[in-house]
Amino acid sequence: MFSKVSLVITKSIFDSILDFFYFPFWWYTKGLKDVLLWSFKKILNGEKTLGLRIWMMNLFHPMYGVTDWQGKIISFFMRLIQIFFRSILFLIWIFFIFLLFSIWLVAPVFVIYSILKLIF
Amino acid sequence: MSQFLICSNCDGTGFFDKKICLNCKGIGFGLWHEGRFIYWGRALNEESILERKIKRFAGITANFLLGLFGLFGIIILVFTFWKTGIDLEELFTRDFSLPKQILLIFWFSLFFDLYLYSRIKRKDVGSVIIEKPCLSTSNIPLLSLTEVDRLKKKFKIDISQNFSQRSQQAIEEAYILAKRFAHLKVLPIHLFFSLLKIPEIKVILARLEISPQILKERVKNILEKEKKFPGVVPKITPDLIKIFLNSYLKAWEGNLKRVYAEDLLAIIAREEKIKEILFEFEIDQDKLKNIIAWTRINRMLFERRKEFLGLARFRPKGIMNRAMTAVSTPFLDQFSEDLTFLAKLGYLPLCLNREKELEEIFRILEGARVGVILVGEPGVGKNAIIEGLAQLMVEERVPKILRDKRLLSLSIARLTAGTTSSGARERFLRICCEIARAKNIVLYIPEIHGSVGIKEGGIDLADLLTEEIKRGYFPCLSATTPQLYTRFIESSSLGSVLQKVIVNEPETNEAIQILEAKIGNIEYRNKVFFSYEAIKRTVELSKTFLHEFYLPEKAIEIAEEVAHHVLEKRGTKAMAKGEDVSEIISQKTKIPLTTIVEEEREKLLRLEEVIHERIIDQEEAVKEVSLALRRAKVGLKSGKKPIASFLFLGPTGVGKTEMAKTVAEVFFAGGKQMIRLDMSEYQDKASVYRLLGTPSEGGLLTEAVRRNPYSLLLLDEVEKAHPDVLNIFLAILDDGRATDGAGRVIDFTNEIIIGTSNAGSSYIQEELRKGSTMEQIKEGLLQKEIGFYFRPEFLNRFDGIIVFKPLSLAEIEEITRLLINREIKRAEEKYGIILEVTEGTIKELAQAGFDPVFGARPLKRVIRKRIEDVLAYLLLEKRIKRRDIVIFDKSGEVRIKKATEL
Repeated sequence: MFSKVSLVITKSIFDSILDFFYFPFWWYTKGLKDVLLWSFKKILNGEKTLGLRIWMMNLFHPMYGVTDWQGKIISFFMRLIQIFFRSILFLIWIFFIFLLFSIWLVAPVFVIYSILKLIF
Repeated sequence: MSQFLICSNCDGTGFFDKKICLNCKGIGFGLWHEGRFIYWGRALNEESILERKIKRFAGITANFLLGLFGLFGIIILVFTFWKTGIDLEELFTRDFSLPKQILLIFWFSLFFDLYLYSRIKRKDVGSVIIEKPCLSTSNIPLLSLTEVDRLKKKFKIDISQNFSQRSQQAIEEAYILAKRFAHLKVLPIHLFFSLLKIPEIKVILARLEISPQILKERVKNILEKEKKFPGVVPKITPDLIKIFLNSYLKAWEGNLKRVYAEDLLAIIAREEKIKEILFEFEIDQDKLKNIIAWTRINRMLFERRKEFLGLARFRPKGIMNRAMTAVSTPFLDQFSEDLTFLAKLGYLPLCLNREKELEEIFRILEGARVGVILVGEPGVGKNAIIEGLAQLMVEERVPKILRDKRLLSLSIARLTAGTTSSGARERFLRICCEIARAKNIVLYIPEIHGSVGIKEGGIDLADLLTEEIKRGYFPCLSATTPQLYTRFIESSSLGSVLQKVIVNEPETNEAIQILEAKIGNIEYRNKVFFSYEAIKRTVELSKTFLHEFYLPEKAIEIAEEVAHHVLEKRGTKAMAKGEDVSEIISQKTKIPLTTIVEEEREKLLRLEEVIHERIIDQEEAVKEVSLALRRAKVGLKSGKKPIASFLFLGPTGVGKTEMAKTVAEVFFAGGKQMIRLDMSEYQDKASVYRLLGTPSEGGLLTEAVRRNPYSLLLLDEVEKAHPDVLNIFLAILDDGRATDGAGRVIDFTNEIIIGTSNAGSSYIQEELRKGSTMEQIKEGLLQKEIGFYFRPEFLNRFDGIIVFKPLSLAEIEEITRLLINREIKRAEEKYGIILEVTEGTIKELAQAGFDPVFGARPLKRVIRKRIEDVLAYLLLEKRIKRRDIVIFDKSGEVRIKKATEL
């Protein structure tokens, strides 16, 4: 029984060491893929929240059911303004997500670089 | 196509000659299911279990230490900053004045934080979610396990990844148990034992009111009896793997994300031995199915709520649609309720088991029509369906015609309140105008029948509504009951524009599951718990005894009452049991539903004796009635007939009515529950309406039974009723139900029906004189005599036809004794006077009261005259006082024995 336990513990230690070295590899492969998908989902959700696509699709539809020509003109310009500002918000959002994605990309490298810099 | 595959080389064990079987690559056993190969890929032996345990422990410890170190790095940095007052900027500049060691610790801790994050994330990804196979299925079926290598990786599913942490632990525990007991194989019973330790299963057992300890003991005894092989390594048999595979399939079919402990339980409960154990604890397959559904429903509701809140974020809060093309509808808002808004805020409960109806609504709306009418009895869940629809609309999981729209519930009552019919029409037109401009409204009109008939000379509101729906600029949903649909909608113009969707009352099991979904809320509000028996009984008893209401609403209301009752009676954290439900329904219906108490049991066992205290002789009648009553009381009677039904035949004054009264007293405790109809009053054809009622007026029979559904119905002199009246009783005696004039179904299944008749009494007397036996007399009566009064199908419907024989002088004497005893008891209780009636007087009274034609009927008259009248005189003349003894002697002589002075 004792030999069994020691064998299993040795195996576990060996596995843990392997796991530690596997971590950077995972970070830039499977992990990166997950973060990419996450970023993509967040960007899509941001678009959904801002309703940018709906605003664009309804550019020529009068707002608030006002269908006379004055209403149509006002609503066209109003929608343009809305689309403009919402696009800016959307771009900021994309930038923010991209920033997070970049942090993911550089984090391990930067940390290791800082450690090495301190040591040597 | 599903097919189990077993390796012929290793017999499904995965090992050959103590080495991994090369033929099947150690898989041993698997299932080819819908284009995929499903197998259990995790080794189950001592080493692997130990390894997993150590790994689990090491994993948790490592994560804890990494987290601690990560936190330490940050704390030490912050502390140093605070101590030295250095700016954050200096951290990133070259010439920082922080000690090198501190910075090194910080960067290392950050590195370990990243490592910890990756560990957690990877573990998360590792616990795979069960996916429905859609694209990646193989067209070429796997015929043998030797071919498993040629199959692409994506077609192979190792299900051991899909089991929840706890169910994996239970499986490992089962192996360890088999080893500890030195059993040759890991059996389902080992798994069953280890499952009993899992918290989810413990909850299930608590709901079933079973002590896990007792159950464990019982299983342990069975395990002890299995043959032991000391030192043997238990084998994993294909039968066990089959259980895992079937549990996986069950979870898969149920759209679950993992295989949970209850899925394993559901499968192993099919095993003969486990079935037997569960059966001993009164758990049948139906019960198990419903209780597992309960756990699943809770899990599902939690998941759905999470998902709903995630999706509801994208819906605009206000009245405007996402395209901003809508117009506000201030006038309509005054008369309606915004269901999509309420759904977004999470105020509406999730709806269950209504996919069929919702699909039908979508189909209709996507097709040519825009009007839907839900037709169902009140309380079957019409509003729940609409509320479910509102939630789907919030999630945008609806056909295009309903997307990005508001669902408003328009109240006809509010629309017509405080105005004339033309005012209501005007309001409605204004509403329609708003709907047309807004373009994002879906209208729901509950109780749509209310719109029919609102007119004053001009057109009806319903016609107006029809016209607007026909124009098709807004989808319209509505609801009504089947009776009102037939009466108002079908024949009106609305019937042509509204497509009918029938909403049926859910079946018992469905209603149990709906109640299980709702019960969490009730439990939370009242701070009590419900056992499964309580849930089941709520549904079953309300279905059986509350006929005027419908499932699931009536069951939900009863459950609310029960919860409140239990809270008051036993305080918080108490469990509502089946008996509590019976108590509440008993109070409502006046039907004793609680289990038979000891005293009652004893009374039932000596029922003949109890009846004989009031009925003299008539052995056959007493015996037959007693047997039927015993059957009924322990619940052996068939569910769709009255409790019992008898026809008592015999001359007048032999005890037929007395017997009926005795039965009422014994069976319904108190004898007050008796409905007595003198059938000689129903001799004409029109009497049918008096008994059953008309649409405007309740019937004498139906109303009495509706108000008192648990009673004895005595039909005196039944032969005198009109044949059409007797026809009513054909259905009642056969199905236990009758429909009254208003179309309501009246339940007779809790009635004892007794008809009395003296048809053929002269025949009985004549035959007795001839010396015929009772058996012969009964035969003669049925074949010849009473055929004139009753049709054979009427007679056949009674549980028993009992012939009462005429009384002889000796029996009259017995009856006299009985009646005198009652007099004695009454005089003592009421006036404190002791009566003594000598044997000679009794004989005289019997002689005077005996009449071969009228039986014991004149006897009461004689006793009244000779005893009661005399006593009345004595009392009025104040000749007797309390404790005095009055002696009635022969020839009407009355003596008074004065009590001694105190």
